[in-house]
Amino acid sequence: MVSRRPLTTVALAALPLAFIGLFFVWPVASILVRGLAPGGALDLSVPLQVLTRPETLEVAWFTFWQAVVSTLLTLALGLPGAYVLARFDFPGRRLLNAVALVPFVLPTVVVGAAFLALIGPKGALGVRLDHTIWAILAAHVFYNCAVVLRLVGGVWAQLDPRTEEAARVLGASRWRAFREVTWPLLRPAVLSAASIVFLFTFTSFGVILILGGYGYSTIELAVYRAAAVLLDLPAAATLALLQLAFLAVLLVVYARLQGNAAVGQRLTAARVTARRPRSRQEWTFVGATIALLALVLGLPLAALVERALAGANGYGLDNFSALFGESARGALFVPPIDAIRNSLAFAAAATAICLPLGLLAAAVIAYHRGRLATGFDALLMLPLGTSAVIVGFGFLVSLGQLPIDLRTSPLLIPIAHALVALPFVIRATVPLLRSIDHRLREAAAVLGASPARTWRMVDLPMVGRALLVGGSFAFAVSLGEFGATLFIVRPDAPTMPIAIYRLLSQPGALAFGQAMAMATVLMAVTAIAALAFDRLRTTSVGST
Amino acid sequence: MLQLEDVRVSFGPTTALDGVTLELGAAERLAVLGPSGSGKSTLLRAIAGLEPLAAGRVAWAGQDLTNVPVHQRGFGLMFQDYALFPHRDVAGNVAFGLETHAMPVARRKVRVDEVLALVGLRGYGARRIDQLSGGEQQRVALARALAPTPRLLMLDEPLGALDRGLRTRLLDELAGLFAQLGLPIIYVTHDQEEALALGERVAVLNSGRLEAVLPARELWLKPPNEFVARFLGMNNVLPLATNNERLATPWGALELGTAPADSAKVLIRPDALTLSAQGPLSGVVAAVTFRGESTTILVRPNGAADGPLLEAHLKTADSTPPVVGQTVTLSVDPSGVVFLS
Repeated sequence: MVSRRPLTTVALAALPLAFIGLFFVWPVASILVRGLAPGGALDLSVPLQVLTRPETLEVAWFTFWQAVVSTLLTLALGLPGAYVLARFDFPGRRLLNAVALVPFVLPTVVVGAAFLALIGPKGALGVRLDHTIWAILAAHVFYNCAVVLRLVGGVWAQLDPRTEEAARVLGASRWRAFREVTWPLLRPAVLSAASIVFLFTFTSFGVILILGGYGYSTIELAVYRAAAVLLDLPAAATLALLQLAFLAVLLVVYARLQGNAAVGQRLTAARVTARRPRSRQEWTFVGATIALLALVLGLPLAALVERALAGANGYGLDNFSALFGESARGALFVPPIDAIRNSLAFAAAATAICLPLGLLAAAVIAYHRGRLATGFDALLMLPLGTSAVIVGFGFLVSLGQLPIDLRTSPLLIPIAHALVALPFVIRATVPLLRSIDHRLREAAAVLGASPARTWRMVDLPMVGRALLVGGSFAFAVSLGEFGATLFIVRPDAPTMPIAIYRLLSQPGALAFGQAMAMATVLMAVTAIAALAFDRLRTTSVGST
Repeated sequence: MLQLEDVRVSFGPTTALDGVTLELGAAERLAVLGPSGSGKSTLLRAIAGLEPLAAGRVAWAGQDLTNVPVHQRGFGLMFQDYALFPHRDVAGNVAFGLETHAMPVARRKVRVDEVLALVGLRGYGARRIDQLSGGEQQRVALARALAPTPRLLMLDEPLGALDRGLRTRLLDELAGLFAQLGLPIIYVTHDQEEALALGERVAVLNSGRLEAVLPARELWLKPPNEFVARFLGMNNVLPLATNNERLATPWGALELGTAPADSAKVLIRPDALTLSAQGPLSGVVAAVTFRGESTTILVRPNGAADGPLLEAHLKTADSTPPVVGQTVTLSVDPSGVVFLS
């Protein structure tokens, strides 16, 4: 057990704090300085000039409205889906629950590739919708639906259906019972889900880069284009500030909404609330919802696999074996297979960096309550609320000033990936550490176990599990990371997402086939990691 | 007022209620007694309209309710574990049924206070649900069910979640309250004491079928069949070989009256057995348990170490109880010999 003496806490917290400080706070501060005080003194002329450009306003407006529409569409599909998955029992329910998670864990590049496989120039449907807003919205719904299904469905499944029945018996119609009883209890979960979807779509990068073409740009994408394509660093810094300001407002609004909506409710744990559909109407509704979910979530993935297998001479593994050859038209400087090797090496390094930091931080958060621990927790969550592109851009502008120039170090990408993965690893491991019931330790002690033995018999199995869960999370995040990597990657050492992106931007069947094959590989790896993680997380050991 | 005709409810392949036919008088209190999983809750849900019927019908004063949705039936149902609305305070919970019936605000307030006073929660209106104890939640649930003056009140194991002391007190309170209300009441429980105390008649459910519907006293004194006898805790059930008037039991021969034609078994009520010198039954005491007002003894037939056990409840005031291993003789009060169908 970890001691609660302040000194130990400080020692535990020191490494994660130093890491966040050096690789997140300082780079972001550098962006701030560069944007607001380019000459050393506060000078708002450049930011004002950038902000008042018509194209900036256009980008900001597009970023906002596409996020609103994406969120509404995701809710429109996700809420009926959450209801059906939470309240009805039907054959294949568990499978659908697991599979519905897959799109969310896919790297955005794979999502983009999957939609190109479906509705791109060489798409399976034969209808071209890429470079349209419809492709972007559809990809956002596909990607974020799992957030609504999981968050809202999870709460819905735990709401006691008898509460609604009590309202019915007391004279409320079906609709009134939903409006006055179920909805107020569900609202916090819906707000959470909507906020998260809004955040993800607001900062959408890879999907829009791949599916939108030059016609569409979010602020996130504009930062990238200004910094990496136009080499206009002051404009990039200003746009990054605009993004951070929007996100800050979003967080404040979210906190307020949550504060107002909080209801102390008793959830019915471990009570089976799902039942078979009973009437013809219910079967129709359940069937239609499942079919729609399966279509929206399944079709792009099926198209991706189909395109990957489709070669010049019918179906086969040609595209996969082509990964071992040269890349098409020099899209990469190396054979595509190298990208897989790079990704695995980077992911291993990122996991090795992230895991100890994440566990130290998780231990501080799990074993200590109070304002300091809460603040520490919030600070470590910050990279999640910002964006990968800003992290990458921050690296670019700040790390050249260090005594050792990290920008040429092979560790740069693993460090960036570790930073992006850190919030996920912490969030995944804190509940596991907290779930060690102190009565288990007491029981072990009463049964004659020494403190060391207690730690080995009770704590270690849990920590082992946390290591496994956190590690697989860091690995999966690193494999799929795109936004930050794009800024700092060396051209001769691409990762899988970078290689897929470059291959997709090349014309020709070979490049397309290689991109599809590699996206399929990446999809399989991340989906397997995520499903394994889901099982680890839900089969609990011990309890609180 | 309430009529159930051959009501059937099934969940997929399992039958939860199997041909229940029942009638309830204008201000009658019916207790429904049965083990868990016997279909007690399903019966209430079927009457309320929460479970669709696979067959049969539920009617009120001759009117078929099949096509009347839940919220228009005007029945009150108090759920097991209460199902209170966590986002409303006590008054908000009680007022819910008044709001759905569009009662004006001023009258609503009066009625809420009135009902809260009735259940002994005067002044609790502004409390949050999660601040209440189990007993208080139970009262709020009752007040909520009563507020819209339902034409039938149904209660599903209302005392099930409470500790023993509170249960005994609330049992007396409920009995008084029910007498005062004058509405038809269906009270579901797995506890025979509650059923006998609160039901004028008691219906016994077993695997979705009604085993008996009898006035409480009659049910207790003359259980109609083996299931009811055993569920009420009376286990001395013996097979009736032939319809002769003399029954050979492992503990000795017993004179019976003339058995009705349809009876297959006979019950010797444990409280009908008393220690006496002449018998007719005798055996060796295998266990003695002191229970306060009575002492339970289990008696094996003489010379049968693993023979059946005869259970006798001896009134504490009547005699000094025997000790284990002692040979005893027991006489039987003829009114305690019950023929079972």
